[in-house]
Amino acid sequence: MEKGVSDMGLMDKEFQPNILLTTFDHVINYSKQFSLWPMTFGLACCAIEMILATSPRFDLARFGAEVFRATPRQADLMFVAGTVNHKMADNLRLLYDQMPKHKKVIAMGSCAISGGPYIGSYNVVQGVDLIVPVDIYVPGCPPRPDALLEGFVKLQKLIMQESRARK
Amino acid sequence: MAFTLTRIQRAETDTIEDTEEYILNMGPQHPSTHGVLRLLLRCDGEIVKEIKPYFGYLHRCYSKVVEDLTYVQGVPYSDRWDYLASMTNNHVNCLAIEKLAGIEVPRRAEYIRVMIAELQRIASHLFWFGTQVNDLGGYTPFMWAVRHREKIVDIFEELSGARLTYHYMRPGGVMRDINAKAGKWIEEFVKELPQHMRNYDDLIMGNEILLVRMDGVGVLTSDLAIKYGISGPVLRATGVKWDLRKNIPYSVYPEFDFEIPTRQKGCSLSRWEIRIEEIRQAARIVAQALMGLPAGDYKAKVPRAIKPPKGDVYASIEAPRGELGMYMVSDGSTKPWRVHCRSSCLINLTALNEITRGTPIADLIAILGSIDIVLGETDR
Amino acid sequence: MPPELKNTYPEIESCLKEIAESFPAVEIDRERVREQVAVLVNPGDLRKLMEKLYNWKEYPLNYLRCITAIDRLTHIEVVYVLINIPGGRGLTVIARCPREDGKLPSVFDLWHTADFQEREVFDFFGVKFEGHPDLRRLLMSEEIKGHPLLKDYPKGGDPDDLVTMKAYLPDGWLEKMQAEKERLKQWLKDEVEKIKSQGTVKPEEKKEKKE
Repeated sequence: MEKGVSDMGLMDKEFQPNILLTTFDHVINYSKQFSLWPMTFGLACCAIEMILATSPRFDLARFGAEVFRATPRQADLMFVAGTVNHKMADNLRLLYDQMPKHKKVIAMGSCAISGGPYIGSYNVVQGVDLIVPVDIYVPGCPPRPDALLEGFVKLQKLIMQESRARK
Repeated sequence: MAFTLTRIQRAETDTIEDTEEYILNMGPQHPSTHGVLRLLLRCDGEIVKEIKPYFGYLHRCYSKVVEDLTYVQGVPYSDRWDYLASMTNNHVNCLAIEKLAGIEVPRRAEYIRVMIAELQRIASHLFWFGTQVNDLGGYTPFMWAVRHREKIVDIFEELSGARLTYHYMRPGGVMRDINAKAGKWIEEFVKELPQHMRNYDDLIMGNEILLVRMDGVGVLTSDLAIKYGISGPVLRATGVKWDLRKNIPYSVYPEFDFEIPTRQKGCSLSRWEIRIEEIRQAARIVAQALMGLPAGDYKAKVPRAIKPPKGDVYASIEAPRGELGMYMVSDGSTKPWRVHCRSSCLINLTALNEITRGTPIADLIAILGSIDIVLGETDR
Repeated sequence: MPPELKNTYPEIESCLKEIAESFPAVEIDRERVREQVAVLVNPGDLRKLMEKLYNWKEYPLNYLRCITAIDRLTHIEVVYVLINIPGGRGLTVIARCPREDGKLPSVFDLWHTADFQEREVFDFFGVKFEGHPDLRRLLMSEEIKGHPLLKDYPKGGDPDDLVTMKAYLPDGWLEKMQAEKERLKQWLKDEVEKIKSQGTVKPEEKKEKKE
């Protein structure tokens, strides 16, 4: 292994086939995107489509998000599925704060994106991005489970672009 | 070894005065409350003494929003009350508008409405069945129920274009006629239903764990049920034979031949058996409706801007969860003056304290599941 | 077609006759509610009327289907839809009460279903029910002061209530709602004066003014 520090291209064929050369970022992001653990935060109608996304027909589990945890301490992805109230907004912020540091939020459905059909009303928050930072918006009322899966795949691509070294 | 013995001895000498009641919060975010329901439990050990429910975590200002929209524009908002049984919500909304405005619905549209409403009842009860067993610990029936329900969702998607909030029934009729593909799928569904129900019976009904956890748990008597205004399967489980489809008939239900299952015990198992039996009876109605579908229009000629004469109306139907009603006030213009949704789930929860007196917390989960609530309708 | 429910049934008719005799201040309205007979009553007579209907020997109205309220700008009407199980026929009782600090007797001890429904009427309209065991707000946060379904409450929320609820709001929302609140207060004053001077309400004008 004393040869390992110099130019990669020349060294490529000199190692045995079971050595992989890559970057730190790539490995972490690759494993992270396939092991996201969502938190059950279904509020309203979109929650049903979120539950159906885990059902055998659409199967979110094949993307790695098999384990839905009820407690925020063990989750790193929050699907905000449904309408957020002024009464529920504090709870949402509390649960978001309780999640571990590298967390992601997917705003599912038009109520979470901008208040939806209840836009301009006295008890509905006009979009969940007023409360928590959102990474992916999945439009629909409610979005099909396929649309949710597409949003999830986009989130995985977003995760692949993250970097710890370049900050 | 000696240490363990001492601990057991100490536990046996504990008298009741040594224990203390505590308050446990079953908060809005919980996997088993079927939505954002907050319950404050005052418990003594594991026995629940009193429950204080807090609603309003999904209150979406339906009544205020709809006062600014015309009658037809307000119908999609009714989808979102009980989002697991969207078609029946639309049905009551359209009934209220039709009674106010004096619109007569053609016979074919009525038959289609009945068929769709009963299919929706089956879909709603299937989802309830899956989540109830999921709460009690069984994961497989949930997957089976959801897979079975997908067949109905496919039929509804063919007819209305949506998977959950259909907005299929409109004032004066329905949105689209039953085409050949949907008719074939409905026929296949009704034919395959008995086999699926046999599978569920084999897998679940004889399961000792479920029977012990549901039998005799959460008993409600019939006079208390009437005093609390309970409706739906919860009322019929106490022995009162009250179903709006037979007692205050609406649409063309008198022309169909079906039974209303009732039980006498009033416990969770009775509610369970009633809902399973209702699936079979609903399939019966769907088969009759499909056979006897008359020719004609699927929609009445409704004026572009519906302007009902002044007055009020209270329209109600037998939704899968109970009596879903709508009180609508018209002041003669194109927009309603006041709209109120009489929610079956909210009123069924009035008896929660009565039903759960002295039960352990684990039984509370089983009881909540058997009352079958959806928070969209409770909070509107 | 299914048999239409007509407004008059022999069971209800005998009841109405006796109500008209014992409560002279009560009006019986057959036109207002579709397919039901409405009995309009004042807060003073409400309790006795409800007890009479609940204890009616031949046809006790033992099931309260719905309690709701309507804001009529000059007063509030609280509607009770009653029915007999297993008969299926019933009445609608409408109680009028003033808009500010309206008080009505609670019917909780007759029909326990009034528990949540009266709390909802209190929450949205401000009508207090005397004798209710636990009258607090049902759906809104308990700290707010406004009553949302009154006609002079802005659709986007009263700014004082939004601040009390510590709401997360978009920019400029509070100022917009303050302006809306003032406009609605003025609109309500104009409407009430119009009603008092004319004696009848013209529906088209009402809606136009609101827009």
